[in-house]
Parts: sequence; structure tokens; C-alpha cells
Amino acid sequence: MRNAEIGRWLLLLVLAVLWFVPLVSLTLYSFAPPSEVLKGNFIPSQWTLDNFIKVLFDTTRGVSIPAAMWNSTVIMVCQVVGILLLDVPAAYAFARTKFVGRNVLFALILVSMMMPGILEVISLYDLMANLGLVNTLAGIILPGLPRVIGIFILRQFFMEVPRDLEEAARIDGASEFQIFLRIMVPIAAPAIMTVMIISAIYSWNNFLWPLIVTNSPEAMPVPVAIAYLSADTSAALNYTVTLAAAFLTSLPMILLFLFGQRWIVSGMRPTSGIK
Amino acid sequence: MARARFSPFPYLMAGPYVALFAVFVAYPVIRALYMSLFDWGIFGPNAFVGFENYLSLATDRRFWQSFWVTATFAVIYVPMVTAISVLLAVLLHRKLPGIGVFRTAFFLPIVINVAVAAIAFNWLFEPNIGTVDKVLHFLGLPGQSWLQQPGWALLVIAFVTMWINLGFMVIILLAGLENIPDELYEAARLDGATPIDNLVYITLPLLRPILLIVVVLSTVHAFQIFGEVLIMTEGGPFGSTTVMTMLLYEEGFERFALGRSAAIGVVITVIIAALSFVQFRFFRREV
Repeated sequence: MRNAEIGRWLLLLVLAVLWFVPLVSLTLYSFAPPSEVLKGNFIPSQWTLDNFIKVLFDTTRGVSIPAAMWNSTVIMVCQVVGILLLDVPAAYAFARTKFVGRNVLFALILVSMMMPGILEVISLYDLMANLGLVNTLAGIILPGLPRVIGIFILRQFFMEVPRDLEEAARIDGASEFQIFLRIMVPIAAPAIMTVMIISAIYSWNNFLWPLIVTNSPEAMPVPVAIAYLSADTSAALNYTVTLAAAFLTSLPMILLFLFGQRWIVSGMRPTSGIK
Repeated sequence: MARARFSPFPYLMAGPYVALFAVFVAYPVIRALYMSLFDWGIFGPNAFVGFENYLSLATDRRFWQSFWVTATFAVIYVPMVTAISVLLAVLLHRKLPGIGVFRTAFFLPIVINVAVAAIAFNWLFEPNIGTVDKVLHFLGLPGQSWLQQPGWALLVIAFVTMWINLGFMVIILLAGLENIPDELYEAARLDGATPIDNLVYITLPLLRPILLIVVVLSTVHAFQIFGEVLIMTEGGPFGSTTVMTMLLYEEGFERFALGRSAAIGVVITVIIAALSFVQFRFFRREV
């Protein structure tokens, strides 16, 4: 390595370490007994698994972390499956077919990306209250289904597929739907994978709407439950337990990221040119 | 013309998505506009009041305070995110041993939810016992009760928000850097350009379209910031972190003044739209 490269490498190392301090500190103290909190050393001097035992078996003010993780899992599975079933055909229609109002609808969908979520929550809450869906998993799941990002990524992908492919199938007498299902969906597998992973992360981490639509502890998904627990950290006794809950509930997403980084990164790039 | 005959296929394909979009995205937006024209309580509309909700906001001291808090936040947050994400993207762009690990390290917070991030930073900035104060004490500097002091609290919240969102910005900037041909840097090197010259005369001008996205999205994030504030300070101390979304939340879900709350949402949306428009115009004119 040349000198300039060594400098760049060292600078990156320092920044990366700084960037990791919040997560490292959170992880270390989730394995520390509460008595360590007041000492406040970066690395605790005693270790324990008690925090995790409490996280797994205790219910604090009605919140049980395993129950919240179960809620989040149900929400995630329903939303990911729902988003794929809705987005893949719709993105295909927007990319490769003509229909009345197509361009206007797509423009509206794009504009909605700029709408702040907070604008919708008030009236959405009103709607959900009328439907009797407050404090239910369905109430959390439904508004998350028509997300825009999947349509955007998949449409971009379908637009780049060459016409020749479907012309050949059409001459062989395949129907529009057969072309979609047998030719386009398999080709789009990497884009579908990207949408799947990005949707799973969104689903697990979404905070604003689940916060609004749940107020009973049993219905809360992970981020809302963690926020609810953290509102009680005045007692140092609970601090390490909350940190352990935060660590444990983030673990599935960290693993998903390490496994799916390639797809996540390709999906977030502005052109979404998934190769 | 046989080809022009009606086919139900596109409607069947797009229909389900469009239907859900209409119910859960478009309808709530229109409904929010509608609600903002009413005195709307917990049991529904009490009276049509026209623009009364908006007019009363214009003379409400708390609303203006929340506006200035949000604007201050944006003024801190947007340049900070833009500068640091460009720095990181430039550092992460070219190959180095272990570059993949470095990229992963900076991208990882993308998957950490706001509640966990807020707790991690609360812990870090805990007065006296948190890592930040420990480091300051070690350096012989006084610690702070960061989140209990008006000026610092907003800055700490800006750090958390940046920590969560920076990875995404770096990803799109890296994609932009890849589109800059290496020959330009090669030619500049032959002309004796310094790294600073490269940044100012090649990298930044050619990154302009992506920089625009970074600035616009960061502004949108800044005006929508909510979870971090709710969890870390609940708008305090003394309302110094009560951003507009926080005021909306209080009006809507603590005081049940839903019409007024909807009006705040509309105002936030208009501000975001106006700022995005201005930013697009500004960047385009300068090309």
C-alpha cells in the first residue's frame, strides 16, 4: 500500500470504530449486571446472562419481548408475502402493459413517496378505529402493504427486460399471464429477492404507524415494545434489561443484513440496476 | 384493428395494488386535508371551521416554536449528513484491504430500528456514566447532561438520526462515484492535480445529481423526524426538541384535537414539498 492508502485505511478504521461504539456499548452492557451501570466503564468488569433471562421470561408493565417478537414475526411474514403478491404483478403491469390511467397512477404513486407518514397517521387512525382494527395485528399490517419502494424497484427491472423474450413465447401461443408467470417472474428473481429483504427490514423496524395503532402492550411489535420499556429506564435496575432486549430484537435484522447486504445495496441504488 | 381490443390483463395485474393504495395511502391523505377543516374531536367532527385551524396555528406561539426547532434541526442535520456521507463515500469508493468490512460497518445501522438506536445513544450520552462523558472526563473536560440541556439535546438527536440514515446516503453516493470515469482522475493526475482539486473540480460537480438526492432526502428526513425525539426527550427539555411532528402527535393523540393535528400535518407536507421544489430548481440552475 502506498502512503496515501495507509492514511485512508487508518482514517476509515477510526471512523468505523466510532460508528460502532453505540452498538458495541449496547451489546457489552446487555451482558452486564445492573451494578455495573453506575461504574460506567466502557467494558464492564462483571458478566451475566441474567438480563436475557429476564427479557425472555419476565413481563414488564404488560410487555413481553418474546410476545413482541412473535407479533413482529407475524407482521413481517404477512407484509412480505402481501407486498410480493401485490407488487410483482402491479409493477409488471406498470412496466410492460398499457392501460387507462397508467401514467397518472404511477405519478401519484411516486408523489406519495414524498408524503410524510405523519400526515396520514391521524386520518388512518380514524379509519382503523371505524374498522375496529385498533390494537390488532391486521391494523398494523394492512397500511404497510401498498408500499411504493417495491413497485419502484420491480418496475425498473421489468422495463429493462428485452422484448424478444416475450415475442418468442407469444408466437408459441402463450397467454399474457403465462408469459408473466413462466418467463418474467423467474427472470426477476434477484429483484424480487431485493424487495423481499427490504420489505422484511421495513416491516420489523417500522415504528410510527404501529406506535399509533397499538396502545395495549400485548399488540405491540418490537420497536414499540422497546420504546415502551425504555420509558422506564429511570430505575437503573431495568437499564441493562432494556439494552438486552434491544440487542436481542436487533439480532435477526443484523443477521439478515449480513446475509442479504448485496441485495439491499443493489435495491437502494438510485437506478436500481439489478444485475 | 384487432390489436386494439380491450384486454383485462393489465387491470387484473395492477388492480389489487391500486385498490390498497387508494384505501390506505390516497384516501388518508385526502381525508387529512378534509379533517383539517373541522373542529374534529375523539368522537368525530364537531363543526366545520374552514381555515380556522390553520389561522389559529399562525398565531400559536407553540407552533412557531416547533417550526423554529425543526428548522434549526434541519440546518444542523442536512449539511452534517451531506458532508459526512460524501467524505465516507469518497473514502469507501476505491479498493483497499478490508474495504468490504468497512462498507458493512457503515451500512449496518440501516437495519437498526429507531427505538434501539435511541436507546443506544441515550446510554452513550448518559450524564457521568455514559461513554461520551467518560471520554471527556479522561481528557480533563467537563461532562454534560446532554439530553437535559436545550442546545445539546437537539444536537444529540441529530447524531442519532444521522447514524440511522447515513448508510443509505453513502450507498447512493457510491453508486454515483462509480459512474465517474477513472480517465478523468488519470488526466487530472497528469496535470498535477491534488486530491482536493480532484474533489472540487471532478468529484463534486459530477456527483451533483446524487448530491441533490442526498440533500432533498435529508431535508425530508429532518422535517419528519419523530421517533428519536419521542423516545429520547419527549420534546423536552422546555420544548427545545418539540419538533413539528411532536406537536402534531401531542395535539392529535394526547389532546385529541384531530382537526388541528391534521392541519399541522398538512403544513409539514407543504413545507417539505416547497423545500424540495426550491432545492431542485437551485441545483438545476447551477448546472
